[in-house]
Amino acid sequence: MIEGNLIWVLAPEFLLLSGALITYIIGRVTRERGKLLVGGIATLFAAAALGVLLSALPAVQAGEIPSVSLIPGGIRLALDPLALFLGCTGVGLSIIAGLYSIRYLEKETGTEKFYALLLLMVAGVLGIGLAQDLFNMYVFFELMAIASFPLVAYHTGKWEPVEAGMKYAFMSAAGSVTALFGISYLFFYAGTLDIYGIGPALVLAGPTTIRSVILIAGGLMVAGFGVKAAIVPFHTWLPDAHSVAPSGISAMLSGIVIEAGLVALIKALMPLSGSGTSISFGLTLALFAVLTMTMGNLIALKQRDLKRMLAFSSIAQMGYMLLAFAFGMGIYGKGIELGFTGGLYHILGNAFMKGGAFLCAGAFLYATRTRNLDEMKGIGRVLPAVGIPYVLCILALSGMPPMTGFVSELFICRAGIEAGGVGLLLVVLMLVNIVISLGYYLPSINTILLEDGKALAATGVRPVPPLMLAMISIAALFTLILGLVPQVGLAIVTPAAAFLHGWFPAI
Amino acid sequence: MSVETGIWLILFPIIGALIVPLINRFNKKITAWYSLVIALITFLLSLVLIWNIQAITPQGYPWVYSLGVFLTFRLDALGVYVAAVAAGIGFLVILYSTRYMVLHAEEKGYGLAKYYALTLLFIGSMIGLALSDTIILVYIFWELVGFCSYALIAYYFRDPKAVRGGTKAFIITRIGDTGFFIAILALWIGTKTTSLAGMLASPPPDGMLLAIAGAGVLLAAMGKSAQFPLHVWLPDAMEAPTPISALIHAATMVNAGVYLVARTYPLFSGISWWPTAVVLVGALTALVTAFLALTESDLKRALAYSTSSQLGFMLSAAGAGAILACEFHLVSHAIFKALLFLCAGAVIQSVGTRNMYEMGGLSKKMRITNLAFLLGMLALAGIPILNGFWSKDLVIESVFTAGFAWAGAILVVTTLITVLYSWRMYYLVFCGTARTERKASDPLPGMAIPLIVLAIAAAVSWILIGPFSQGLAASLTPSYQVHGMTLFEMIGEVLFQPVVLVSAASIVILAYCAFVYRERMLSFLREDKGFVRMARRGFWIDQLYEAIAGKVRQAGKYAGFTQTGDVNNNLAGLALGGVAVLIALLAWGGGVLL
Amino acid sequence: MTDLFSGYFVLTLVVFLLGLFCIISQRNLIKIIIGIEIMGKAVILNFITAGYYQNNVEVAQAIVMTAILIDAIIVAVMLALVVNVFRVNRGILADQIARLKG
Repeated sequence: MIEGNLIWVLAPEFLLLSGALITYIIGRVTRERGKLLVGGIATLFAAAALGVLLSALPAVQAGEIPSVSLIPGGIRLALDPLALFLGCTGVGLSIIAGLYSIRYLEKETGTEKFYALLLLMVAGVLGIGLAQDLFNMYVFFELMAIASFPLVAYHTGKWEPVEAGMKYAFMSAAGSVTALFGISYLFFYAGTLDIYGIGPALVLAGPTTIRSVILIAGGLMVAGFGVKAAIVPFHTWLPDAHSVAPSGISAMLSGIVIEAGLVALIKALMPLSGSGTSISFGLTLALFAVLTMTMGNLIALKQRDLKRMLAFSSIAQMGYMLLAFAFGMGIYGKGIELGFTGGLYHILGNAFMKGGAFLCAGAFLYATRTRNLDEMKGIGRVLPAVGIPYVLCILALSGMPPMTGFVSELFICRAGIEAGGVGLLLVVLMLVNIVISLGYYLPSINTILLEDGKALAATGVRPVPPLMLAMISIAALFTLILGLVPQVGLAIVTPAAAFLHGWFPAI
Repeated sequence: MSVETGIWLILFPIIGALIVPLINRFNKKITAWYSLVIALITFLLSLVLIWNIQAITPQGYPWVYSLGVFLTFRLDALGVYVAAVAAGIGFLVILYSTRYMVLHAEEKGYGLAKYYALTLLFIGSMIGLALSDTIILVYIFWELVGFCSYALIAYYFRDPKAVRGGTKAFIITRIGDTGFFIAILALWIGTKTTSLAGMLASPPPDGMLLAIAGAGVLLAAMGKSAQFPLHVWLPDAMEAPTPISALIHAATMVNAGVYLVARTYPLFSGISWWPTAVVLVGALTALVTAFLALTESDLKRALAYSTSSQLGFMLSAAGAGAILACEFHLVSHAIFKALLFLCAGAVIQSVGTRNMYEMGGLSKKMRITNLAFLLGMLALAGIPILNGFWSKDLVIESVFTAGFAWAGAILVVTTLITVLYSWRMYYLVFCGTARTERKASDPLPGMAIPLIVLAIAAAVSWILIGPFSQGLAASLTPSYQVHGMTLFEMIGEVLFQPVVLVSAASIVILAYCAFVYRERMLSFLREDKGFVRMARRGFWIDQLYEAIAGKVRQAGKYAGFTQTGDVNNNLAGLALGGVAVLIALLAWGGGVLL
Repeated sequence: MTDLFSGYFVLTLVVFLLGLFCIISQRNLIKIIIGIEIMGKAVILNFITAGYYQNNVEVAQAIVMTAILIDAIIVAVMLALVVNVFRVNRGILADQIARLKG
């Protein structure tokens, strides 16, 4: 079934990449007339890619992994359940963010660059999942990163995006190089970078060599990919970048790009764990996870800039996800599949919760021309179509049922308690962090929705275009759906979790 | 009679709530009446359920099929009684609101659609909490109820005190909810099922998990039922519109914690320390908050402290295993506390202040309210004939019988203080000379009818102990140790206990002394010295929480210094972090370098 | 294990650390970019060495060429960003560009 494989594996990636090119060309050709057109075309390509991915769902659920070797014996791409998951989440969010940006950027020129870069970024996300060897994954990882630098610094005339973009680029590049350094050590010992080949090759090399190389290579990769995954202390680029980027891009960054960084990290650590060693990354990652969530939540408390507050909240969310994956990899050497389920479900939910929250923040910014909470008191009453979804998304982020955050929290904490011992302590720390996070989530809701909006309305509030409102509502709706009917999300999460669980031994 | 009716009982008010905004768009005037109709139907449906209580085997609706989580419901007396109280008092409160909120919301420019929608949503969620068998579903409704509480406390959003009160309530109950959450997970892992019925039927989980679950449930009850030291949110929640205070913070939501403890009692009664801990928390709360009520000058806040105190009684009963006494007092308290709050609403509306020291002499001007409040006060104080006497003394007697004599003694002392503070409330508000010139008059029928209904209920609800206890005994499994009790049995049990006789005698003596020395006592309680001063400051528990919150915010400020904005620093962070990762892996990765 | 510290690997490690030192201590943005590039080159050297020891020079070559390409692209983008920073700030020293903080 080569045709079937080709289509499923290559078509989504091809659609995204060619979509980027075509969008750019059409945009350059039509200039001013085509401003709205480019956004629509880009979204169409993304929707087509999503369609192909979803059509592959039944096959992947049944256990098939369509794969294609581009160079026989060399580059292999496969649509394993993890790739399907990343693709669906990433492309889905990009459709929402892309449509949103059509209106958000209507005053700009040269939007064809924006959409082309957006599609390239999503292509990178999908590619991280498709790649079956570490260097390929690195290439797609870089594609995603490089595409995102100009997106952050899109408004090149203002000092904020430029400064943030510069810092982001520098840190990301340094991190990528570090990760590649680790990969090169791995290449030395294993002779191959194929995910399935590294393990057996390392076993041949002998136990002590294995241990030391896994530690060095693994450590370097954690540090390198950790920059993108916003793990503390590699996170310092995030608050600046996510708060000053155009809001559609903030949503994408917080919603899928940093999560893709985390998945890349897990994917890099996957081959190192099955080689019969007793190396456990779980506990180390769990400790960094607690550090990450605590720092994210604490620093968020003092923020008055709404988008910056949401950015620190993203750091905290990454902490929860990392903790989930640490449970999945096994704190005491015994991997717990529910940890992966929880982590992946949180990635899926977060795309809509955090993405939705950023889209709302963008709408507030559009309407009031400020990001400062103290200057947008009562904006939720003036714009209830944004205020109510904002409340839904924020409450979802704090783990309140019946939204999606509660479901993933349930899975993650159950996995932790099942792990026993330190796991219980880690779960308690996570729950304490969630209570702390209420300390900035609730005041933001209070400022936005529980203040008199009359003063604000008097100074003039720009009406928010219906397209943006529609996208915000869709994102909020998804947080409800994923929370009320978890089976919908579990359709793509469970195969991916089982796939990951297969890599980490349950001793 | 099937489970479907129960599910409809939950969904009906919730769907009704979602339609309220649409109705409001259509025609503002009928919003209140529409909500009244929905509440009435809900109440009637709940009565139907009472008439047909059975221990019904729950059917499951798959929720997370792969993990075996099915949503199940259970219509036994314990849940149906709580649901009926929620529906009944909910209906009366909405009736009261049709008149009360016109003055207090519409004229001040607050939208009524939000009010009625949230109230109906709350009623539905509370019923859902009571009728759910899957413990995760109980948690979902538990949180929804908490959200409605936050939104309704902050209803007068232009008042920063209200918004602060709502936020505080949400965060503090969230601390309790964290305990509940951990308990759910521990029980789920330990008994491999999420159904409460299933948990009771299966062998108990191993010691550690069970202990964690027991502690978690106790923490949850402390949060939701405003027990010491998590009681601080309830007085600040009094910024809510008074009908809401009556519904949520007196009659329903705060009972959820006690309900949870009662429901899970058979699971945890085997743990050596659990019953004692629960009884301790309950008794201690009862005593401490009674003192706080005694020195409080704000009428609603005093009632709030009183609610905490009575909940402490119920919690002690539940901890001692006296589920019947606990539930009976729950129902009695819901009736007379809601009555007191609704009267307070009428009074505050007339007089224009919440400070009791500025009221007085209202007995002539507000006759109906006077009589209703008097009946409610007597029920609270536990004067014979009214329902409070029977249920409270049943609680005390059960606590003694279960072997917690020390707790029983604390509860008896609390009863004495209860007499003092409730009489003080009545006296300050209704007797003596008027301290304000405002013209006060009885409320209009919309508000007066609920008062009359509740007052009559307070007087006679105790007579139904027979069928009440039969329902419980029949539908709960034997592990709850509930036995039916006829009216005569209860009269016999309560009236002829030595404890009761002693406390009754003390009450009489105390009441006499209090009456004779009333002026001296009242001025003593106004002073700012010694113990009174400590009580008026809330024993500084609030300040403790403020200090903790301040420290956390400060930590955030200091943590923020790591964002220096300097690229070199950021990159240095990368380098240091990398080293940290390597060291961590060395220490915990299980490998050896070289 | 001794393999790891045989001559060439020590060299690449030293180059990497030099690059790292460069990015932490230099204030001029262009110099930081150069530092990142130095680290990148260290990695490439590492790949070449690894390919040599593994007798898998073809794969190593493929990887190295792709890595050089990616490095070039990253440098181009970073330099473009630095040009924009200069346009807005009139300076490219790190302390002048530390306005986003806290």
